[in-house]
Amino acid sequence: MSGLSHVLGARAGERPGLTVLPKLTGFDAELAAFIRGRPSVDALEACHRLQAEMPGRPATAVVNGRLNPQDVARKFLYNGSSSYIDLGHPEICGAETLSAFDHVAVWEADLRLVQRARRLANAKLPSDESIELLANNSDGRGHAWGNHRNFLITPHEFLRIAGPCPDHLPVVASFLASMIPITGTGKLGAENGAPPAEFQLSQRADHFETLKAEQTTWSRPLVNARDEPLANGDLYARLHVIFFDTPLCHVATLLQVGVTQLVLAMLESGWLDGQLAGLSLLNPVRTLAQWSRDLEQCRTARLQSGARVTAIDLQYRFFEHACRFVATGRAEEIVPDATRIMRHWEQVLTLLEQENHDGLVGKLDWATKLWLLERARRLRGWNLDSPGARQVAHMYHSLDEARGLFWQLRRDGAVQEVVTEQMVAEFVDRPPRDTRAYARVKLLRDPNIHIEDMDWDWITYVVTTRTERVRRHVRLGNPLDPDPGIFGRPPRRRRYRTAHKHRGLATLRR
Amino acid sequence: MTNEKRIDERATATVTVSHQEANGTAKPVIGSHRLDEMIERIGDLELPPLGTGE
Repeated sequence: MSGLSHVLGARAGERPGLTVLPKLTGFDAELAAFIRGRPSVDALEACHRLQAEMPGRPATAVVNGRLNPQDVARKFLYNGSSSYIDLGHPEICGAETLSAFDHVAVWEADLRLVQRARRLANAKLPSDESIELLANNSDGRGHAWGNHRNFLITPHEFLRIAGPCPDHLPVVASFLASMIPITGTGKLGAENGAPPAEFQLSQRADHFETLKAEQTTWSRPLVNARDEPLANGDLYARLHVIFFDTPLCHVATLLQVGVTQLVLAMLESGWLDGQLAGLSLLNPVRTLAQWSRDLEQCRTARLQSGARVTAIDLQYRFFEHACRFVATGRAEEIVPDATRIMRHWEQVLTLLEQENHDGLVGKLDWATKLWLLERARRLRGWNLDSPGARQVAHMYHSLDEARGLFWQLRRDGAVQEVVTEQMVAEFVDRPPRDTRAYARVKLLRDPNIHIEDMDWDWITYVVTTRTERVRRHVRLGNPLDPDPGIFGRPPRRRRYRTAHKHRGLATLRR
Repeated sequence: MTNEKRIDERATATVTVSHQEANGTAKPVIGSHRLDEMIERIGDLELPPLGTGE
């Protein structure tokens, strides 16, 4: 990776000479879609019908002159997000956010957009057919699809996690494994040759087989080493976290993103250097199946330091490091709202430690689904291995607001919300104002501009004035910059600015 | 972080979930007649093979 010297020594973090970037986040999440009422699956037709109803501008997705089967019919949406079809799954990619709370609101807003697209698409189908749409990760038949959350890190940190000599790799892999009790959405049974389970915490844990690799569709790696910054790669890298399940609960979504932001900030600043052995499992991949089946949080795995820990023990180790990190002010402007994230984190860890599963209902998806399954057992006598229980589990993930069990629990007030309705409603139509998503949408919405093509980090367009017609190519290489110098006035709520442009580096305003 | 601070933060966090703690008990109040009706009606969603994504 070129240009590393620009990053090293550019801004002092915890250790002199280390740059610490704000932990900007995004997501690319696949959904499950098919048409009910037909003898065949018709997943692809369902995807195309949904995608046709998404509000946005089509972008071509041609790689080396060929259409990419993992990027079909892409649109960039008017709220800064994007949607497309990936191997027969609808995929939504969220607008870049700085705050984990904004991330939750964007995720919720994008779900509303696909829910609206589903209603519109269903209105065009015969009355005995409808598109079923689920936010889950597995069909229970050995197929898995992704929920990827992305984090801005420095190229230097990317090398420490995913490079040829990755000293931070064991910590990141172990941290992700320990997140299973928080981010799992719950699954009946086992897949992919994993040990049998009646109910396990994670939908995806059984599908991870290697520690680190670039691929995502086979022999899945716990840590994805895909070096695709979608930004100026000299200055920025993107950690593509492919391990998590797709959450519906706000608290689980918040912690999935916010806690990862904190851990990456601590790693990038050098805060955890010297503590690595006490945070690293000897075999993180082997631990996945074990911890995904540990509803009582009692199964231990060995750390490199020799100690044996449960997933919650390891979470508390990260939590206590993060307490000190946040208390010293080092998370300020790197991880917005860090204190609020910490409060939710501690509360959930306390409930997990107490095995208070009822207290976790409406906060964590696996606990909410397990509660529903128990309710179904009492009402209908369905045990966990019955077809009825499997249908309850599927209907938990349904995005049909009328029939989906999660949405009814939400109407009942049983789901804890961490963002307001106003925030979500705003992100349905508007982008976050503090990242490059703002610039992307401003160009998308400009009536004087004809966009020829675009991607996350560039836009080619023709602007027409009274006197001329000019073709322009704008790079959005700095994901933290909502105003790459193409607008007259800066947007409101601009928290970060590009400084030291002579060094080509975006740094913080302080 | 000191124990006092952790306890203080825990107390603050508890406030945010008080909406689930009705009737003066620590037991959350969840579920509804409507939810039970929806569970009663479940019965026809069998996921077909949907293919590997990512």
